[in-house]
Amino acid sequence: MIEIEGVSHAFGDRTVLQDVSVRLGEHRIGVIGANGSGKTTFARLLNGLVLPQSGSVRIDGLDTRGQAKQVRAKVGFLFQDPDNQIVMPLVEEDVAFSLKPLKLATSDLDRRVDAVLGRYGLANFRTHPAHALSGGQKQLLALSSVLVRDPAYVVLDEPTTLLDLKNKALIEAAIDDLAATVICISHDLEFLRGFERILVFEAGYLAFDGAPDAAIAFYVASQTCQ
Amino acid sequence: MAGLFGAGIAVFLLSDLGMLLGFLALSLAALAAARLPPSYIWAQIRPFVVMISLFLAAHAVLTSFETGLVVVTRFAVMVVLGLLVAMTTRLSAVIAILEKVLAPIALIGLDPAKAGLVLSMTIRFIPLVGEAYRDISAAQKARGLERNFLALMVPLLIKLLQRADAISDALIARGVDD
Repeated sequence: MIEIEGVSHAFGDRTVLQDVSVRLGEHRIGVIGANGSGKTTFARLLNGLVLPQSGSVRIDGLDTRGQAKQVRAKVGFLFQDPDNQIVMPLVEEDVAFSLKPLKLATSDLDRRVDAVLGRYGLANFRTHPAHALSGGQKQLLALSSVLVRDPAYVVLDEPTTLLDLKNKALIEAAIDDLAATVICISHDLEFLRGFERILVFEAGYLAFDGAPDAAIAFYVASQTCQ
Repeated sequence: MAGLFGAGIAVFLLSDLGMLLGFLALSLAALAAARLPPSYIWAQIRPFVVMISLFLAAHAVLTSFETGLVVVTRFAVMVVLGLLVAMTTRLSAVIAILEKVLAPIALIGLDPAKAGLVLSMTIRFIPLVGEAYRDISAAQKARGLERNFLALMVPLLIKLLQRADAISDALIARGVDD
């Protein structure tokens, strides 16, 4: 369960979130909103990348303020641009890097790296340089590096924005298949229509919270009326 | 790596040209045995051929041709062995060795694992810096500013700083400092 209570946050003079309170227990949660509406800041609250200036964020009872390490073990985060997330030169090295804190035996580490790369069709690219991968492959590699830790939650910040149609379909299929709870920020409204719940952010407020069809209709109406 | 270090010491203690040429032949045989693509090997060695030629010419003028041959043969052995180690050793193994060698820095409060991470990330992001430069260069060329140093360097610097910020967030999200 994700519990966000009375959260407000500002960057300098700019308020980005205002008094947001929500409890999220569903398995697939979408987050939509115009640029600058606060949805990325909201996403970053969930793994402690942003600590709220007021209010609290709890993930399965763990407070992001005092228990960030435990929160990050539970919450994986996929950024919009995989080139910012992949930090090691080779494919297998980047996935193995995620497992370094666990201090696993080499055989266990190799097994887990093999399993996740095989799952996302990257097994034949194990020793390839990361920069030589296509956009979709890079995002799959970034996703593999997140999932190899078996997080209970995966937050995805516009995971397909930089991808072409084919790679977008690849990533969306991978997201559909995840066992973890997914919180996905996206401008792809049709993809989020298959989710269980959608939060709509507007000027830092949680403007709508409900079923996908109603949330999308609210959002589209709010954008076309301006 | 230890072998490379030992070979380096041995090569510089030898001054007999015949023995050095024998050492070079063995190194080239080891490189051939690694079965790396010849075109790839040549691409790596080619810059050193120019350097070796310059060293030989300099010695021929300043000392003697024979001394020059000894010096460039030593250099050639190290280039071939260095290439062999670099092409057949995983970066992760090199980083692991570096972290072990740097272990004493922990005594002064520094983290050897972070030194290894810095090296890995440097290698990882070099191609991206090149890509960023090419993108900006193309954009500025479209504006007729391809010869303007500031028009190239300022956006590049800003882009790299923004990327560094984003990478920092990604490292935190991946629990690097936890």
